[in-house]
Amino acid sequence: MKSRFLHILFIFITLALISTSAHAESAAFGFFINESSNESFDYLEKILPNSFASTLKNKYNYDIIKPGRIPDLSVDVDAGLKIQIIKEEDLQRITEDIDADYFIFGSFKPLEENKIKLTISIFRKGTTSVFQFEETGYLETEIFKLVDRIAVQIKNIANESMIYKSGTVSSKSKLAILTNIEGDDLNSLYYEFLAGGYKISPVQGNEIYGLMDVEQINKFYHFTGVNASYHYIHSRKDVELFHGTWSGVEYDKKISDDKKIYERYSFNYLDTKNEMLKKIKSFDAIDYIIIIGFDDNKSTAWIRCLNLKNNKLVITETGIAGSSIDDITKKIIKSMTTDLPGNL
Amino acid sequence: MTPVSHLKKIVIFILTSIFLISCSSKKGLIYSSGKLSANSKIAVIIDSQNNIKNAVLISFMKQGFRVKAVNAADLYTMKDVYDISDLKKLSYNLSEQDVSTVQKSYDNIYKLHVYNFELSKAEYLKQIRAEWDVEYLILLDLKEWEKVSWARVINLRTFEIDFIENYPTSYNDNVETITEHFIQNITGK
Repeated sequence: MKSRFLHILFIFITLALISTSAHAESAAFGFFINESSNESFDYLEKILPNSFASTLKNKYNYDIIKPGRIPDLSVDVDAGLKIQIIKEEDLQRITEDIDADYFIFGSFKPLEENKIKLTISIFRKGTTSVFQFEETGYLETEIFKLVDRIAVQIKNIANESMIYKSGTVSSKSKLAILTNIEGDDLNSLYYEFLAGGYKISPVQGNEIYGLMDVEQINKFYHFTGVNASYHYIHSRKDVELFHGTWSGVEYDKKISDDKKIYERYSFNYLDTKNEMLKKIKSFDAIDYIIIIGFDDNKSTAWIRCLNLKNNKLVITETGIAGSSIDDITKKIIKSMTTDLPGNL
Repeated sequence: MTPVSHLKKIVIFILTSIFLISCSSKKGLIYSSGKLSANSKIAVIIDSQNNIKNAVLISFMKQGFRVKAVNAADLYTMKDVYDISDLKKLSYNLSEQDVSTVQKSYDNIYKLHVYNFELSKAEYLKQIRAEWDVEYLILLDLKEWEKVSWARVINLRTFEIDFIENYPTSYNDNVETITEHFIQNITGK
């Protein structure tokens, strides 16, 4: 009786392990829109997403849906209709009936010297956020390398860890660290960086008490650089503030002021933020701003890293787990100093 | 072995494990990029009662440090200055729903506030360096037995952290012994 029970238990565990390991991420692709007026590049609108999809399927075992199989995106090209750029505010509707975890779409612009700049957007179904990043490379001979590099980025972003890297952070760099731990915990975190050869700006470390809790540090979870961002989908429809002469001078002024707030802090936030970073740069020779958010138990953390020299987002990673703050910090430093696995 | 003695052994084992785990979580650590000369001009930031502050400052002065009069209250914490929850009320006044554009604006205003706050503090530290002639800012947090006392030294010329130490307070420690311990490691004497 006992051995029978053990057999059944073994079968259950084996089945559970098989189903876990067999689970593959799934991604649907939209077209990549030609943003230039040069129609000779239109052929890439289909080729690019199909190439990314094939690479993800063949190399990383993704279940994929190509753009031609998505009804919302089908366009009668023969009738002269042009593929439309996807608005982020339409993502919920477009992905409603798509059976995939992620929806990936984008655009491209041919540059001089036979180069091409791609903007890739990754939307996780059921969320209100988009991860967007840019990659530049050469057309023709180098295009396969570029497709592989972007596929690696997509594979790393489109999972729970949401890892993005546009470079590494060398030791000897000067870091300004913002985090939600304080006191001896903050010293433990600083210690790993200092022992690793980094210089630490006393930003936040110049106080006895910490200034942020978990809720407050999580405001930095969405983060924007000039080359990449993880951002809330914003729409002007969300904040349609009707006003006019009919509403009276006082009301009219209030609504105009509210509109300015949304322009400055939502629609043009990158410009507003870059103004602030310029002030920080003029004050101290900081190389990178690192945001590290710990959970309540300090057992996992996420990181965002911005290069202050060019305002580029360098690293994002979520769910870095460890037995202690120094253990997690060691893993963060390892992530900061190594390239994406499989990157070219 | 009787069940009682067996149970006793298990309880002892559990208690010993808890004790060992709690001890190991209070590891000390120290990093120093260079030793401070004992005649450096310093400001000590410590959030304690005046008699304790005096005891700490006396320990530094005894070693020859030129201690400038800066109070912890001069470096206020953000929660005393700004209540971010006020912003949320303003931000959500337009809609009862969780609209991501509104959430985005709210989060971004908070982020810019943090950057601005850090910039203001940095400017203030620069002022402490330039006008009060302070070379090093020393932050201390002295804790009781079984907790971790810590120190941090900020070089106001390079604007970098030069020294950190976590020191698990021992049973026989008091304000003077902990401060002297930190001074010894800061100066390397």
